[in-house]
Amino acid sequence: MGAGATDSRAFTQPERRLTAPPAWPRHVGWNQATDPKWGGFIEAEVGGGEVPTWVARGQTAIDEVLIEQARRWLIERTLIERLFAWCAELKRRGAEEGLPWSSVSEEDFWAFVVSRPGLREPGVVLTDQGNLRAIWHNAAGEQVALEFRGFGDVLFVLFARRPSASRMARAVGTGELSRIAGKIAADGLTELVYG
Amino acid sequence: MAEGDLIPDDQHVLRHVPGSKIAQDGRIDGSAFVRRLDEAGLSVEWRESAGDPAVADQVARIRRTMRRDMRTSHRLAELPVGPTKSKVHEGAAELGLAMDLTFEHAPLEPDGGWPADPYHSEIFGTPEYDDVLARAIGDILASCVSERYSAVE
Repeated sequence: MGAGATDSRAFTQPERRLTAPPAWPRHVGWNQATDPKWGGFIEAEVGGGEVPTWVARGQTAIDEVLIEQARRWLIERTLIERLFAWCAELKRRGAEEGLPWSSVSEEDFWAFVVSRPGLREPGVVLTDQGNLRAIWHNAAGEQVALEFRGFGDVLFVLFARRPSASRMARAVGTGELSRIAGKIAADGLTELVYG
Repeated sequence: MAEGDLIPDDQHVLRHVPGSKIAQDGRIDGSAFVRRLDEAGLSVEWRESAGDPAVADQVARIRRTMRRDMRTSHRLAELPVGPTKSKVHEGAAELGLAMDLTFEHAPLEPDGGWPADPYHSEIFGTPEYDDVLARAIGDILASCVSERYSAVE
């Protein structure tokens, strides 16, 4: 939360046309009671006490866009917070097991996580080499596993089911971090990773 | 049961999995099934060799003899021998490899303060630890895990 005013009572229902509160807050939000999965507040630059013109004009379409944007920010922020906490736990477990921790692997992992919106939460583990490995699975046995080896180098293991083939297509190899999204897409696994 | 005996296909082995190889949702990762530099095979425990048909008793006996530093975050991952051999053979073929795993009994004598481990066994035939294919085979092995047990009682 920012340092602005926190009176958000006027912003608790996204369907409702926003009207100016006595002191315009720096927050937009939605009702957690009606939308428990995504309810919450997130900071938005809407001014410091003045009613933005777009609200004064009652542009509800913009309200919806802003609220949708706020939802996405919250989802991404929540994902990052969860992964950050899990990485801290992995670091603890690794230290307990006498494993190294690769800071260059961690840098690449975060670069990948923040590189594109809509990322699904991967399972994350620590390899014996101290690298972070992210894995996405589905019930069909498909998977994307990326081991971040640092300096933009990724070891991938991709399992993809082809509609026309009874066998699983399996690919393993190394590649550049900057090109791995293209590799995932080429194997038809984008939805597994990005939803 | 003697050293070098092949474990029958209808039996099971347990692999110790440290906490670093277990994802947030409890899923065991394939990196737990990659050989280390100094290993000729994957170290496992032959569950049925621990006697008593009650699985809980077998697992309890194995916990007491495994030469591992067991912690609450660790797990024992169970692999069914026959289905695992088949799935790895098929998966390796899909990678263009011919691979046949063998599950061999390899009991350990008392050593360095550790008691004897009569249930110890090895999986032979997986790739060297630094081979990128080891990751893929590890993932196929992880997909064969049929049960997970707590590593501590």
